[in-house]
Amino acid sequence: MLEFIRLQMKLRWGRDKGADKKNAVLTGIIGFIVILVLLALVFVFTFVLQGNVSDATAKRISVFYITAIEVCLTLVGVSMLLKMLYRPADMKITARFPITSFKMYIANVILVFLNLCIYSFIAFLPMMTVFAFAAQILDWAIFGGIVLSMLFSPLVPFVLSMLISIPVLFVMSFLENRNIIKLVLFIVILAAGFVLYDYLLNILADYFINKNMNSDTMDVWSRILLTLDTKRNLSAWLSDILFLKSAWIAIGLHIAVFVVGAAACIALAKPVYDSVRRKMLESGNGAFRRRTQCTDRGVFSAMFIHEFKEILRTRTYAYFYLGIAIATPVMVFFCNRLAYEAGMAQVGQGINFGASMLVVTAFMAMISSFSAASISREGHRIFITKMIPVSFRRQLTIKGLLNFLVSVGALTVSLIIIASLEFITPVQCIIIALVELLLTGGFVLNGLNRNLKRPNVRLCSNGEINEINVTVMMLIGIFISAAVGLMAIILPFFINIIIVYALLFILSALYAVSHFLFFWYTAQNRYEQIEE
Amino acid sequence: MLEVKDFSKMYKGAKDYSAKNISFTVKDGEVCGLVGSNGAGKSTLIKSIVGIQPFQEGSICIDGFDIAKQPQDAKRRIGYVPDDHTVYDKLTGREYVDYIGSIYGASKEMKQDVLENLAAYFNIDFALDTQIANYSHGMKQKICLLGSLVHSPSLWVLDEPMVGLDPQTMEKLIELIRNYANKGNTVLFSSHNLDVVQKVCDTVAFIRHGELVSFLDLRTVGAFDLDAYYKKVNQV
Repeated sequence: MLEFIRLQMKLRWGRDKGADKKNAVLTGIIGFIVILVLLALVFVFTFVLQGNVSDATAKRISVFYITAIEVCLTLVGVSMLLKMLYRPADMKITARFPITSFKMYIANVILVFLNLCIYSFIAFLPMMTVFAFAAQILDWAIFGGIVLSMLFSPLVPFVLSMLISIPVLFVMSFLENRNIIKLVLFIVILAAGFVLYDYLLNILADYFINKNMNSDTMDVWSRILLTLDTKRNLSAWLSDILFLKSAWIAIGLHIAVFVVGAAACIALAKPVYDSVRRKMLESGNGAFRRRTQCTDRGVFSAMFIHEFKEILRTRTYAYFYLGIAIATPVMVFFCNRLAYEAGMAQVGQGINFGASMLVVTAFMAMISSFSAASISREGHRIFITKMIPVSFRRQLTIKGLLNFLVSVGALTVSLIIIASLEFITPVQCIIIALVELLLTGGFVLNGLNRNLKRPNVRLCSNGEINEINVTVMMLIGIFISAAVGLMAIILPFFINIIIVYALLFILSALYAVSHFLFFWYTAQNRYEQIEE
Repeated sequence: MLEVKDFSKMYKGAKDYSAKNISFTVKDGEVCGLVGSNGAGKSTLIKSIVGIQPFQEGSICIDGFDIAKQPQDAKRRIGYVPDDHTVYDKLTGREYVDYIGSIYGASKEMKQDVLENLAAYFNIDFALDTQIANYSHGMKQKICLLGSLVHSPSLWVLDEPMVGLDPQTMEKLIELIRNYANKGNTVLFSSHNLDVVQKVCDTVAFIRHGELVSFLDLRTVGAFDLDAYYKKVNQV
C-alpha cells in the first residue's frame, strides 16, 4: 500500500520531464499573482470591516475567514475524491496491482488527505498572517495560534468532503452525458460566483468612494459575522485554537470529529467505492447511446457541427469555453455597472464609453483565446485532419469561424444589455460593436497563428494536452484590452471623441488585418509541417 | 493506381533518412503487401502516401494526382485505416461514419449502405449508436474500416489492419480486401502476418532500413515460401 501511495505521489507531484517548463513557470506566476490579490483583499476587507461594523471583533472576522478556507478545502476535497477515488484515469492500470480494493481505497483517501494538508497550509498561513497584520494583533502568541490551528484545519474539511462526495458522485453519474444540463448548471454557478464577486467589489468600491460602508451593508455583515461565530460552527472552534482560548477543548473536538467522522465515512463509502469501481472497470467511462440519422451535409457544415460537438462533449472545453461565453453578458453587466458607478462618482459620464470598451474587450479576449488551442486539441487525431481532402486553411477557417461566432454571440447580448441599461449611448454601442468585431477577429486569428507556430499535439503523461498558447493569448488579450480601454478612457479628455473613435477603429483594423494576412499566407504551409 | 517514385523522407532533427529512394507501382485491381520488420519504414511510407506527413524527395501519385501538388484530389481517392485505430471517440459509430462520409463527399445512400451492410458484415451494427469511447480495440478497428470505405475510394490503404481483430473478422477482412481489389480498386496494406500477405496479395514490397529491397509479383513466382524469403531478405 505504501508503495502504491509513493507511486501515486510520484505520478501526481513528481517531475514530468516532458512537461513544458515555460508552462509551469507561467502557471506559477499566475498562481502567485492570484494569491497576492487574495491577500490584498483579505487585508483591505479586514480593515474595512473593523472600521465600519461595530461588533466586528478580530475573533469574529477570523471565524469568517476560517469558515471560507474550510468551505474551499471541502470543495477541493470533494473534487479530489471524485477524481482520485471514483473517476481516476488510471483505474484500469491500478486494478491489475496486487492490492486489495480496501487498501487501494485507503491509499487514495490518504493521498487526498495529504493533498488537503498541503493546500490548507498554503492557504492558511499567509491568509491568517495577513489578517492578523491587518487586525493589528500580530504577535508571537497569535503566530503560534496560526501554526497550531493550521495543523488542525484540514481535519473537518476532509471528513465533510468524504461525506459529501458520495451524493455528489450520484448526481454526477445522473448528469453524465447530459451536457446541456451540466452547461446550464455551470453557467448558473459561474454567474452566482460573479454576483458574489461583484457584491464584494461593490463594498470595497463603496468604501473607497464614500470612505464609509452604507448602513444596509454594515447590517448584513454584522449578521454574517454574528451567525458564523457560534459553537455549532466548527470553524469557530478553530478560531479558539487561533486565539489560544480553550484551545485544548477545540483540539480534542477536532480530533474526535476527525476520528469518528473518518471511520464512519470509510465504512459508509467503501461499498460505494467497490460498486463504482466495478462499474467503471466493466463499462468504461460512461459512454452514451444515441440514435441519429445520416444526413446529406456539405463539408463546411459537417466540420462546423463536428467542431461544436467535440467542444460540447468535452467537459473542460464545454465549461471553460462555452460556459464562460454564455455567462459573459452577465459578467460584462456586473463589471460595467461597477465601472459605471465608480467612474460616475469619480470622473463623470465621460468615462462610460472607455470603461465599457475596456470591460467588453477583456471578455472578448478571454473567450477568443480558446482559438489558440484549435490545433493542439486535435491531439493524436491530427492525422485525421491531415488525411481528409479539405485544405488545412479551410479547416482552420472553420475552427476560427466557430470561435468568432461564439464570441460575436456573447458580444451582441452583452452590448444589448449595457446599451439598453443606458451605460452607453446607441452611437457608442455601434462604435464598440465595430471595434470589438475587428478585435475579436484579430484575437481569434492571433490565437490560430500562435497555435500554428507552437502546436502541442503530444499528450502529457496524464493524458491531457499541455497547452500554454491559451494562457499566452489571455495575457496578450489583457494587454490589448488595457491599452484599448485606457485609450478610450483618457483620450476623450484631450481630443475630439470622433478622432478617438476613428483611432480605435484604425488600430483594431490593423490588428485584425495583419493577423488575417499572416494567417492566409502561412497557415497552409505551417500546418503541413506539423508532425505528431 | 498508386505510383511511388524515388520517395525519400527524413524526419525533422533526424540524421538519417527514414525512407530512401523507394519506387514501386500498384496497378488497379491489385493488392500490394508492405512487409518489413519494426521500424523498417512501412508506416513512414504509408503516412506519406495518404498525405499525413510531408516528404522531401520523390513523388507519390494516386490515379495520376500527385499527393504533394494536388493533395485534395489525391486524398479524395484514398481510404485509410491507421495502425492505432484513432477515431473521434466522443462520437457514436454512426456519427463518425456520417461525418467522415460528409467530408469525403459521400451521399446519404453511400453512408447508409456502409452502415447497414458493411457494419453487419463486420458484426459492429449493434454498437453503431454507442459512443466510440466505449468500444474495444477491435471495434474501433472495425469502425475505422467502415469510415475508410464510406466514399468508395479507389486506393485503400491499411496499416497493420489485422492487429486486434478476432480470427473470424480477419478472415472477413481478407475476403473484403480481395473483393475490393477485384472491383478494380487498388489496395496497399502493411502486415507482419506473412500468411495473410501470401494469401491475399498480388505483389509484395519488402522494406528494410527505409529502403525497398525487393518487390515481388507473387502471381509470377509460382509456389513460393514467403517466410523463408523474408528471413533471407532481412539477413542481407
